[in-house]
Amino acid sequence: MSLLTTTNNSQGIFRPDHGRSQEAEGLKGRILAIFTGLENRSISRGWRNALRDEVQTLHEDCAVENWDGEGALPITIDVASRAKRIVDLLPEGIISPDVVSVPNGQIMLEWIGSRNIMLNVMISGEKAVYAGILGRERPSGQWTDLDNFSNPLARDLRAYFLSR
Amino acid sequence: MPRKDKKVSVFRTTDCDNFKIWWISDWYVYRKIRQKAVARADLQAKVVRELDMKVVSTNLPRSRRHADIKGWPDDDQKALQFSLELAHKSRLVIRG
Repeated sequence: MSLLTTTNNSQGIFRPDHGRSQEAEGLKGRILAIFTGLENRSISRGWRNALRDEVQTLHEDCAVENWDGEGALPITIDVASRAKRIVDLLPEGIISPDVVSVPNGQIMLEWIGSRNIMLNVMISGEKAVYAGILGRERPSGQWTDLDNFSNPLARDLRAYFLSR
Repeated sequence: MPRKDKKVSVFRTTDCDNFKIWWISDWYVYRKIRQKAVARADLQAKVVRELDMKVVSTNLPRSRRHADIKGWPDDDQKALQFSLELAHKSRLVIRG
């Protein structure tokens, strides 16, 4: 712990390395453990809120027809709501995806690990579909019950996109 | 992913160097949508054909190079799979 202090006529960097209490040391250790835990969990509550904000921004930017100058369909509030719901259901401990608008009015969540490891979830108003390239595997599927998360998709996300 | 008309717009660039490809982008795309491309994906036509889709010339005026990738599946899941395959087999070129 360091304390920076100055006086009118001289400057000093006052580092009280000596004389810190055991209680202060214990508190410092507990605070460090909390921050380390948060850093290691990319999809923490804060990250979910950040992702939801990205979805909202995307919806606002793409809410009108022709938002890309080439006839793109608008991203409706329905699609944005479903995307936020899916963000809420993402498994814990995975890398945060990129959030992308699609010209046919859908929202895409993209995970790209490498050229041979990628997974996309595309969300419309009625359903969500996913497809991936995971080495030689080509998983894909869809689900309409958006109160639950696709189990095969959750398994693949945990297997290939775990936050380190 | 294709648009609602089930087409993806491309330009044939077989005999073009990097400079010319970006020139094509600026001439045909920037002039239309007023946004400069910051990257592109280079792809061989045979990859499209391997997915049972087609690269069809559009014969637009002054744009003999323009074509559309057609034959996208109606099913969203399959279309997403196809778009991933195209991305997987293409080369990303970021504008320098």
